[in-house]
Amino acid sequence: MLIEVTDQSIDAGRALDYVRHRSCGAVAFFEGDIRETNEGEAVISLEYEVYEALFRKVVSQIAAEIKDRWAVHEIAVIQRSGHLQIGDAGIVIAVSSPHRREALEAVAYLIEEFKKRVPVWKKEHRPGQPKWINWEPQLPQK
Amino acid sequence: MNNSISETTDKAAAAAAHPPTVHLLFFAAVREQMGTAAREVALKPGDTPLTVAERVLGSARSLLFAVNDDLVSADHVLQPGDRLAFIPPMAGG
Repeated sequence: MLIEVTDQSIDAGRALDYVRHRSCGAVAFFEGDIRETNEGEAVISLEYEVYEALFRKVVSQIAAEIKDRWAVHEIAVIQRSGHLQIGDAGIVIAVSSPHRREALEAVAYLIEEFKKRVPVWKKEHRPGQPKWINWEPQLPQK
Repeated sequence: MNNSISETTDKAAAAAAHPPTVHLLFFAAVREQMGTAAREVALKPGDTPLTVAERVLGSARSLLFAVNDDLVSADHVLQPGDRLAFIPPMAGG
């Protein structure tokens, strides 16, 4: 399995090349890109922060769950960190399997679990104050 | 016998000279609020992620915890030298 965190533009071809295999008739692919709006408001850019040691453990755990459930051949995940602009890819996932259904379902499962479980944070820059997604300021200032 | 007393005394002296600590990791909004990504703090007997968060951050609300890069519950008892990460709500994908 390929698990990578990079502060450079993601090379999606690397993920696809990694999972392709002669035994596989299907490669399913997901790319999460930075959108120009969120909740109806303009987005200028997005900062990604990753707790890499835990990220690797959680993604490996999700991959093990996938291999228990579907007959997939190989899985590749490449995650961006750092400051991303509109249109940049933040996450790329590729899964190969002998038949299409397994690869498609595995990719869908991976990205849904990813959103809930992996230690990645995004700071959204909009006109005005930047804001960490899913975070309401609540801790006393030190 | 004497040796064992002497060892105990040595350990006590070492503990007094180097009181037990835990290494804290801060991420995202918590890192910005703390003004640093990492800090060493003294470990008190029976300390857990919850007690350390309340002492250092003032609140543990909406945080998850990892010790030595494994997710743990808020009442996990910490050991000297542990690496405790405070994990604010995640936003992967």
